[in-house]
Amino acid sequence: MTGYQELGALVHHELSYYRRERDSEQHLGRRRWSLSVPGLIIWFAVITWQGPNIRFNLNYSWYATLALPLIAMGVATGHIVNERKNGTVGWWLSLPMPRYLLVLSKWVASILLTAQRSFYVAGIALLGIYAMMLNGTVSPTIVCHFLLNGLTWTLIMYCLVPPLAALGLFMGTLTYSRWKDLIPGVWLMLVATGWLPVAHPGLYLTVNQALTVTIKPAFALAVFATWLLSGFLLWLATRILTRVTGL
Amino acid sequence: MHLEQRDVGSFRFLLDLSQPIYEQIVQQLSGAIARGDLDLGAKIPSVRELAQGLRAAPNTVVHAYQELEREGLIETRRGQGTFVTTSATVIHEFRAKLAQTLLNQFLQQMERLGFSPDDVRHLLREYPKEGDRT
Amino acid sequence: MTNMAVTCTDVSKRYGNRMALNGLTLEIPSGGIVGILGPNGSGKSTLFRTLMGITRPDSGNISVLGSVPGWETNAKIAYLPDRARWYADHTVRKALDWGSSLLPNFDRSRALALAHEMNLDLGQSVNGMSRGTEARLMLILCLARQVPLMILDEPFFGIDLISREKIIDALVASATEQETTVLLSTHEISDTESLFDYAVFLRAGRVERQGNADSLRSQYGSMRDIMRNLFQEEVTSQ
Repeated sequence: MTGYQELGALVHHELSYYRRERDSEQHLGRRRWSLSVPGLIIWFAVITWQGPNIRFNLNYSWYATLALPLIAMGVATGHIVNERKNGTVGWWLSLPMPRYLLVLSKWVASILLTAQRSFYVAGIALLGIYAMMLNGTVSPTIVCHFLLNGLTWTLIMYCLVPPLAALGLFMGTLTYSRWKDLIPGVWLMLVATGWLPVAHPGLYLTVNQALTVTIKPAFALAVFATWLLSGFLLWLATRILTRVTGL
Repeated sequence: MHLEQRDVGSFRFLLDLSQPIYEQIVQQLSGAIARGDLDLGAKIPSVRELAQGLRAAPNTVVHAYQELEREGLIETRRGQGTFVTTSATVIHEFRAKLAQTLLNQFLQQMERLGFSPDDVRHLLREYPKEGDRT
Repeated sequence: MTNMAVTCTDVSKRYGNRMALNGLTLEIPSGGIVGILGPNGSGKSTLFRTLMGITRPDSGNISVLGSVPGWETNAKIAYLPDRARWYADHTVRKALDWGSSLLPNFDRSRALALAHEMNLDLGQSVNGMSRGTEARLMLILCLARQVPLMILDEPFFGIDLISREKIIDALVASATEQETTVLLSTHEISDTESLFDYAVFLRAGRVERQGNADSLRSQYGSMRDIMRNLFQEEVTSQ
């Protein structure tokens, strides 16, 4: 088997994602749609109810794309932690494959699973147009602008999915290690570094009064940096699984 | 001592888990052959069947069968299985050998008690016949 | 050295202030069924995990099939982890696919035959299986591999009698058909003790007694007697 075939087989396996519930043997926790579907239904209800009275800028709804990197991180952490909760960690870690492939496949799978969970963004676009039709502001220019803006938001958030998936894997593997007491410290560091772009938001992106987002050149640089960081985090996760497991 | 009864086909084994299992397989199978419980040329269980039935390690059964084969009591025919020897002479000789061994043991014990072989012969002549025993 | 399946020299592993393995030294010859026996917490599972390279010992040397434990060696070992569960979203068929695509030397036709023998339906979902059925499935994934070493950690834990008998039958059949060394830890010693060619008794992370099972039997009595004598205080409660 070549490395690529192994990776393919592993990713294929990792695309299944669930958590065995502790109490009921019969129930599998699959939370694929648990937040997005009720969210969209409520959004639909609000729009239908308010109808012509909607006066606020519908571009606010694109802030929902902020959830995408968080989903990536959650899925990635869950992927590692669930092996233990589901009682399958022994099978996983005794696979005759190098540990970096085990980590890499979970990373790729987390990104793909996040993409699968991002269909709610299309729902937001449709509901936005529906709202414009109800309050009578619908026009080709406005719809185009609304959709383009949404596309930009989604693109920006997708750029952050791989590094956050890597971060999630790293955090997940920390729970396996003798260093698991460090987790709160790592969280603190994250919040601190997360503050950097927030402190100078204008450096990477600008959001104008009409809530249109524009990407600045520094953003590309920042994304490049976070991708380098993901590589480092994946390497760290591999090291933890090989060297300092607390198993 | 815990004896466990385990049936393999028509065989009934009594396994004593506090004794070597290899010896018990050899003794119980050769006993069955010597007594005539197993006919000449009869098929006996395969290694797998016996190991499964006795819940014994296949290696142990293999070694036991090798020992019985050395004695000439059983023979393995390629692709057909394992069989009791077809030679009545072999079994006859084995019975004679077994009887000789038991007799030697008996005589040794008697000798330790101070009975000479002649004394034993005398005792045996006095020993009640089967019909007279109560 | 060459005909040793496993060699451990002075291996120690500490968890917090508990020594799971405490200077364990052990040589297991290849071939046959080897019982790894001892009370709870005697280090059986930790030993197995170190053999699989999942746990790294703090000190000492380990050789499995002549090499250092690690993922490369795992290609030659079929391992049933302790308290393992199977992926609950799989069906039996998907579990066999998993074996075919991720495990070297996985014999799919043998796995299918075993599944048939053990009354598993290919479409059956793991979620909703009884523990015994799930254990049979996991054992199939081990038995269907043509490897020189098999490590089964408590394969009978929490399993009904019928599944246990089927598993023992399959294990014996597989040990008949291929030259495999099987390391097996179990609490159900009365059901299995006649299976062992070789036995290792562990206590508090050390080897208390080891040897050819028939020699141990003629010297000390049944495996259960040995357990009782060696671990009186620990076993009386069980």
